[in-house]
Amino acid sequence: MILSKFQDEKTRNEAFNLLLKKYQQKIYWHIRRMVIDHDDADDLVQDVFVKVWKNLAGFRSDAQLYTWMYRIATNECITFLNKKKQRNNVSLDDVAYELADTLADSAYFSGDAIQKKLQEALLTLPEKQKLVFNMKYYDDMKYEEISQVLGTSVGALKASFHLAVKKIESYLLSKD
Amino acid sequence: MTSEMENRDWINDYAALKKVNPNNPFKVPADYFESLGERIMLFKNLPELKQDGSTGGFIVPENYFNNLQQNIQSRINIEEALNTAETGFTIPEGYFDTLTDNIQSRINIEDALNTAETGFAVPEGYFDTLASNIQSRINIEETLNTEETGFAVPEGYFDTLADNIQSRINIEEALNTEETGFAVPEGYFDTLADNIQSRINIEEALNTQETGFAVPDGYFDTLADNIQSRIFVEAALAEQEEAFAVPDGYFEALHKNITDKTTGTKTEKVNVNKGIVRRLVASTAFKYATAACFAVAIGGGILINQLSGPTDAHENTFLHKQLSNVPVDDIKAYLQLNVDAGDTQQTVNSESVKVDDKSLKDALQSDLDSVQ
Repeated sequence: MILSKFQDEKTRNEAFNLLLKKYQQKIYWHIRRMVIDHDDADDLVQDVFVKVWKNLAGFRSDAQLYTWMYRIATNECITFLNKKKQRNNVSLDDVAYELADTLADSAYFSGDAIQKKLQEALLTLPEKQKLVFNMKYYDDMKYEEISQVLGTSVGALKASFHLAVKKIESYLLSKD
Repeated sequence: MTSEMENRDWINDYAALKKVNPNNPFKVPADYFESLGERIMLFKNLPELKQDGSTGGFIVPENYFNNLQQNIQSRINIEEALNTAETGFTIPEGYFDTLTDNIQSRINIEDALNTAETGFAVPEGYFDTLASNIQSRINIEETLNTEETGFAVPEGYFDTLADNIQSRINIEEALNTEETGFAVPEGYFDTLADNIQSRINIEEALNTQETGFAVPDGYFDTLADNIQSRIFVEAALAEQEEAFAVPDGYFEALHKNITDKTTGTKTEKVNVNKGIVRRLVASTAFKYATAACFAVAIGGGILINQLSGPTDAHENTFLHKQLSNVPVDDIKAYLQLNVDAGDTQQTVNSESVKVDDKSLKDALQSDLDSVQ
């Protein structure tokens, strides 16, 4: 329905408004869990939806619309984190430490100590493992949907998820 | 396993993770998602506005962005230079790298210039302009030596030129030497030209024949005396005018009296008391005797007048009385000025008429008027 309205130029803005209302929070939280900082997430979510606006006319309906937008958001997050690493000339681990500090000082984190520890554990994971875990743990997405988002086979995703969970469990157990 | 992984049963295998609250630990500012859609709608229009070339109502100077990078770099350089705490001054790049060599070269140059062996000195900046001066001299020499100079000199001019110059020098030296044997007043030559010109003007003025006026010979020799005589004569005539007098109010009553007489009207008679009239002579004989006495008296008077000379008569005239007060020399000077020699005598003798006092006075007055 949204796509059909979007094809008509007269109802294109209306279709885009519907799209925003339906997916803006899912996309935001997907980004926020990756970049931790709210302001960074805010910038990225706007960029994601601008790209959606630009490319929605060429979207092929053989895929899920929301998995397509997740893919865009995932790519934006990875690009952002890589730029941040290059800009600060630090390794990805250093970026993880920086994000951990941000998490500690953030006014927009209301989790308890265990939740905070989980986030710190997630920051130690590689990007793809973190993405798989987040989409599985928080968004309860199926492997097929995650595969469409990340462009990775389901088997690889399962392996990544297994590794991610083991690392997190180990992190939670090893550190107080 | 696969089915377990598609639901949340997998978490049971991880006791530590299972203890974690699965809810979202993050939060957003209040009403964030209420305004997120609107902000995204605005944000998505920005690229369209950029593509349209719209600047949102703002404009920049022409070629601003072409020079922006250079301007920023210049500004950065300036800021860096200003923020340099050490000196506050800037030096050319690589200045200190060549400073030692430059100082040594300068020392060598100074030593070479100040060396005592040369014994010669040149004006400041001489060598700076030497090359151009030599080139200019070469150009002038080449120009002078070319056959097509465009000027010509008399034949043999250059053969005698040296001698002429030497002669001229000798003359100038001779003229300028202080031992001339003559002396002139100080500043004489300074005013000589003006004096000569003034003298020429005076000579030309004196020699010009076209003055338009002439005076008799010796005119200016007697001019002063003549003027003095004229002054005395004028004074005498003025006294003559004052010698006649009329009663007070005479001319005021004269017109009225003439009018009364011509028109026959009588003026207002004054009340005059007539006195007693007494007749002194009443007889006719006394009247004839009185007439005879008058006739004898008149005749005797005429006889006496005929017998007495013109000199006596002249001495009794008014003019004689007035002129007797004037010095004789003044009268002579006056007559020489105004009357030709023998003129008066000629006039008096040739007319063969009697000249009375009134005629003579009128003649003198007329003569004076004509002179004035």
